[in-house]
Amino acid sequence: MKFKRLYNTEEHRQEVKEALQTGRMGLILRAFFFPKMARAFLVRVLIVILTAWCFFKFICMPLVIQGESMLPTYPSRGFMFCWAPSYWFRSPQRGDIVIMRYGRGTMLLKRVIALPGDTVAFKDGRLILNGKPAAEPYIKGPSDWNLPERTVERNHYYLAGDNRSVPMEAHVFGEMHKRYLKGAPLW
Amino acid sequence: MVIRAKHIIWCAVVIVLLAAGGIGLWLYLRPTDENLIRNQFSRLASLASKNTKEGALPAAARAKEMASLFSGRSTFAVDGLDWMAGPFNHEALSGNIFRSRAMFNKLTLSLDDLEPEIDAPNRKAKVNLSAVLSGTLKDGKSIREVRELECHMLKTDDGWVFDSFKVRQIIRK
Repeated sequence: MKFKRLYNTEEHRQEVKEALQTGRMGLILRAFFFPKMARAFLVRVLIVILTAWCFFKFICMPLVIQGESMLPTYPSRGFMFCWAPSYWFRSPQRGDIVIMRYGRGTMLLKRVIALPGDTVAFKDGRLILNGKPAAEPYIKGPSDWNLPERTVERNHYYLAGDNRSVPMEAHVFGEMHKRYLKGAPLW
Repeated sequence: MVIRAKHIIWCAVVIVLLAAGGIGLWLYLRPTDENLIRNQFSRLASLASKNTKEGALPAAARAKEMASLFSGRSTFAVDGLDWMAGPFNHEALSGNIFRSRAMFNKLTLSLDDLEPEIDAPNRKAKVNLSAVLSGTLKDGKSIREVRELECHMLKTDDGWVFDSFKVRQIIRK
């Protein structure tokens, strides 16, 4: 099979050829970025737009962090991508950072601290997981959280931010159904 | 006119694309129970929403239309709002909807993440979904509330109607 349409038109092919022969950067850039409008070029542009839309809408969603609940791991106003395939073939584990859908247009960036069936509690800021204090090297500031023990429901994950210095009442955390899981941050 | 092989290939591609689009559209729009249930939620969200100032009569008509989407004995259980619990008939529901919508200048209800579980032999369905209620109150205060809903629906001769709603926080401490 021949790929005859590397150039949009014969005119475009001549234009590129001349640009490369003369070596003038302006002409090369113009021929590359602003080619003559032709069917092949428009089809390519349409394919690129559709692919990019699908990719950034469903696979790799761009997000801006608002809030300080994941300090110091993620700063407020930080930019990131939510990588959806992360949990297509596996489930989140304790310690994973996940992105959950929180109603239309909003996502929550949290750490999974307990899995379905685990018991979870906070005592003087320490996480008590299945009756034992859990090591959380990612927590930096002081915390005074106290929460009675509870068992995480089936198909739910218990999530919390890394910034436990904020009062417990002001921090959005708790158990959430796995249906809201969207992916993991790309970095 | 000469018909070349490439013309035939182009025609075939266009026909395949049109057929795929048609099949997709048919699958998306055909009146299955799941699609009918999804349509009821879209209708509920669209009727609840309010973008402009609304007169009393159109608001009452809208409330009545919304109430008609519910069964004659709907129950509600809202976490933290015990006064909303209990069965409501169409009149009571219509009145409550009218009063609640009147508190807002602007109101948008988004219902997403729908997961219907249909029990066809018993003509019942359970739907889990998330809801975002956002808008501006009469005093100018903006609100955005996100909740998780568990809804039970019944199939009547006229279609699916809402029978009960359980409303709770989407993330629970």
